[in-house]
Amino acid sequence: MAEFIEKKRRKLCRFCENKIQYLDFKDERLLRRFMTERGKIVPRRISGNCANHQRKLTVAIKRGRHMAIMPFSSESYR
Amino acid sequence: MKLYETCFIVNPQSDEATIERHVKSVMDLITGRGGKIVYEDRLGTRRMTYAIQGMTQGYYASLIFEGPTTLNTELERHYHLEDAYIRYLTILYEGDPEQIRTAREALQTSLDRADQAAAEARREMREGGFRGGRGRRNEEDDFRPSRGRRRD
Repeated sequence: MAEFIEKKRRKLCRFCENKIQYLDFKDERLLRRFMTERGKIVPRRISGNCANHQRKLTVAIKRGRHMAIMPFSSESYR
Repeated sequence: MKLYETCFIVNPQSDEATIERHVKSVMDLITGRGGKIVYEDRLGTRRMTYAIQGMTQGYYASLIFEGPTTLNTELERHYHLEDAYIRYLTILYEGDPEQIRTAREALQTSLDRADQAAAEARREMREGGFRGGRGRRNEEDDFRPSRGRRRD
């Protein structure tokens, strides 16, 4: 058990660090970084985003999906 | 008045003049109803991630504008009546209006850091380190917690 606690370290929200307040749904390059190859949104516990930014991120990704900028799912996956 | 952003995709199969006319008509509608265009962003023809009405490409344009609340319904009606608009989206713009022009550049500079962070996150995910001790997952996308050993 001790080793698990040792392994655990505090992740910092990337957007808080960079002081980004607004996430543009058209910014495919940025949003793709928080998506798996299959097209799923990377959860907060893995990306390390704070609740506020994760919420903004998911909204941006979903808006991007509606505008066909982001994929709903990737077909390349088998 | 509040800031809004309207983004739409125009059928790219029509010629340039027609596309221009469709973009212009949206701009005229906004300015004609007491709105003011703050920023115009033409993303141009780009590939869509999935086909819409059999089309794989679309001409993207985005307008950030200030306007009365009634403008949204007018825009929707306008998009709806014309077949050339494949997709449209009007949202409340929550970014800093003074930084619209610089926001993009600021994003680009922070991209490298975000890239690094995401690569780290992916590696961590692959290694399955976040749950500790339960072994590696084969499928990268499987976020569900392990159900443990079956007891039957």
